[in-house]
Amino acid sequence: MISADILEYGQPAHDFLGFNQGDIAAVFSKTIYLRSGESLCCLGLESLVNGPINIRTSLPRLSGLSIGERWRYQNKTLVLGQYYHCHGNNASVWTIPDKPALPHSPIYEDCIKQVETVLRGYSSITNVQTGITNTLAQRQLHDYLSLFEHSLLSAGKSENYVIPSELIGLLGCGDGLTPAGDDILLGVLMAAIHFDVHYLAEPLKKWIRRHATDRTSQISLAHLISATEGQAIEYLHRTLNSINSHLIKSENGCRSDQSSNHALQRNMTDLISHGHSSGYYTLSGVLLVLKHLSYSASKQG
Amino acid sequence: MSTIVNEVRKGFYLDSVALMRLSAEISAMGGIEEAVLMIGTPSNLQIMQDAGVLNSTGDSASPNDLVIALRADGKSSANRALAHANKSLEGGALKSNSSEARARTLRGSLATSPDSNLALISTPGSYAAREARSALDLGLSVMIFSDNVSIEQESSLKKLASQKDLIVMGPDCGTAYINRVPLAFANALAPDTTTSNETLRTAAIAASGTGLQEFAVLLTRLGGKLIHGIGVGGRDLSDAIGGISALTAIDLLAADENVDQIVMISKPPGPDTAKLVFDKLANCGKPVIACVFDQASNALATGIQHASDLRHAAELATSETMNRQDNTQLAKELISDITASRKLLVGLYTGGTLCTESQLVLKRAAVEATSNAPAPGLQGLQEDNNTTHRIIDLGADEYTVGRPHPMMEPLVRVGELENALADPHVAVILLDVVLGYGAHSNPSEAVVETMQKVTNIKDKPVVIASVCGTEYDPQDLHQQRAALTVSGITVCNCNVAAAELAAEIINQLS
Repeated sequence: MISADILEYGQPAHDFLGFNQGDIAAVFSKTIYLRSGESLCCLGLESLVNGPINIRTSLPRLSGLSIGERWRYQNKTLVLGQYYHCHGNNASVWTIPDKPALPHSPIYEDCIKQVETVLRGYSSITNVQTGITNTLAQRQLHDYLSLFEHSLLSAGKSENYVIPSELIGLLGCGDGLTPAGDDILLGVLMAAIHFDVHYLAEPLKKWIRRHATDRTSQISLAHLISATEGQAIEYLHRTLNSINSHLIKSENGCRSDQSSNHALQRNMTDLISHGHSSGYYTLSGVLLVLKHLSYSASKQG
Repeated sequence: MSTIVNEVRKGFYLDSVALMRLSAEISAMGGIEEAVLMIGTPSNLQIMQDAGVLNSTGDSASPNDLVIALRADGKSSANRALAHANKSLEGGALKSNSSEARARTLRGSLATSPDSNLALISTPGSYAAREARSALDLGLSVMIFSDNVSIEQESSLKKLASQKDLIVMGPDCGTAYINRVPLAFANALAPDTTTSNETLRTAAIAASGTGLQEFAVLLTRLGGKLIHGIGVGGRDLSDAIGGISALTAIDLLAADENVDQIVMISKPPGPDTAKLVFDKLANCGKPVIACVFDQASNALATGIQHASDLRHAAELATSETMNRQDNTQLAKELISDITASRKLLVGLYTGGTLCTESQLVLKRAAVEATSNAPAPGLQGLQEDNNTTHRIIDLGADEYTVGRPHPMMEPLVRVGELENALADPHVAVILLDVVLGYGAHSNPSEAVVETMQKVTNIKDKPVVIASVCGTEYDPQDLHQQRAALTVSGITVCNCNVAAAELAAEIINQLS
């Protein structure tokens, strides 16, 4: 038997364990997905990033577990398959990092440039921004990104954003576990929520809740639903907070200092390293919102 | 007439890179016109429909299913590809479903293989040190494939190993040969059929990685015989570690009666460590060749032969000489079609040591390049790409975080290659193609496909490559070379030769 501790979980993941039992829906080298009915959460090693539906444990490995094996949670002990036991007595609930106050009249250009630089640097395989496309899905995503950007730049502040009907194809579009289209939507939604862009965030939340159920995988849906509640992985929250701090400095007329630049770079690098392409596409979504805000501000100015 | 075959796997998840790689692998099979593996969301089904690979079987998939969809020139090609896809999925993603008994601990492994004396550790870095310590405590020497082991942990592990008369190879030891058995990323050696006493049996000590691979390849091509290749890790010869593993390796090889000579391959050691290691080598009782990048021969102890690069080391070890091309004439011919405004060189390397070696060969020919992984005495990348030669290590962290290493996934290089081919300032592009166990099954393919896009353009950079591979490797060395040559690439017989030709072109253009 391999015995370890549950270190930290998001509140939704903690609530999920209240179902008490279920099966293993997917097995990867460092993570597994636990399922109960229609709900899912992700369990991983200590290196797993904190997030609403994530459970971090001190397990040394997850080898030997199989899809379909059972899990149960009783007396604060999570039993996975036959060998793995995780004790939850000392587990803590992860909370979203505090958000700094929002800037009043920020200058976005420097931030946009930094995000674009990071995306370019990590875009060797999945380079959507520069149009280097290697798979059928990536070619399609490139078109969707252009359409999304165009529609966001055209969106006015006075009324709720109307999502172009073609963007329904973004849901569930892509090769992997969380399709890249969903990652982009998650990035847009979380950035819109973070920067209080209600006229974007509210229609997007409704649109995702209405359409995503039938159009993407259960795993990706679980992440998207958390995002409609303003919760995502810690790397994304930290990235948004760093962007925020950077914008405040620019607003105050300060040149961005080295430490804030480093923090922004570090958080973006963490985000973009998440999953095989999830972080990359999520940051691409964040960039769309920054461009929208920049364009809106320039029109106002 | 085309045949469309689909298969749906219910409730099956696989990560995106694995799916993309398998899609690319199947698409490249003979008779396959298009192949896609994606989860069956409506959006993905529409993409498959538009690509003409979907039939009613695939169309019935749900968003939680994996769809294997392919279009082939006939049923037999389609069935072959489908069988390959299923075999790969069973062998990889479904492996965890296997009920086959597997040891879950080092102790368990030892119980089933009590004669083992070496543990290969490949775990996330944060766990590697702990597992390595357990292995040492069980009396096993250790090869740590994992990176992200701190220098303090490395030092402590190596001191413990030294006390127990064991050796720690690594961390970040990507290549090793023990008793001619290749471990991790390594090229296949020639079958051991020689009975001649004239062939010296060679053992190498290297940081580990493509330096050791290239040396093993060139030695094999020249008829030499590699017995051991001990990777000590990139930091072992720093003063912080003090060459603990290198010193142990020298003792082991000196005492091994199956070893006739020792070859040392490394970057310049720390000054204190250099003295310790070179003195020990000079007094080990066997002939020693040292290929220490950018170190003058007089820095070595008396009695050690100095090799200026990996080709030279293999030549000294075998007393054979590799063919030299007439670079002056060849360069003249290669640049006859390109405009005079092209002056710059871009190197796109998948192998770290090959990247270093090229920079030093260029420097020797008075061509100073910048790099994201600069060789000793050279500069990092500059902001202005239009005025400096650039040699890029695509295996460096900034290119590989969250992505497969380019030796495993050659698509990583495509974007950079396309940019270099389109750059009007670039005169020469220098590439490596690494074969062997662990490397991609067809590493030249992505390069060849990129080259095909510029076939009809007359004024374009000269592309030069070398293939690090033996004819015994799982990939077909001759096919790899032929494919590169047919696509318009000049293929040289080793990395040094490729860099020398590139330098000659740059010098002629300036």
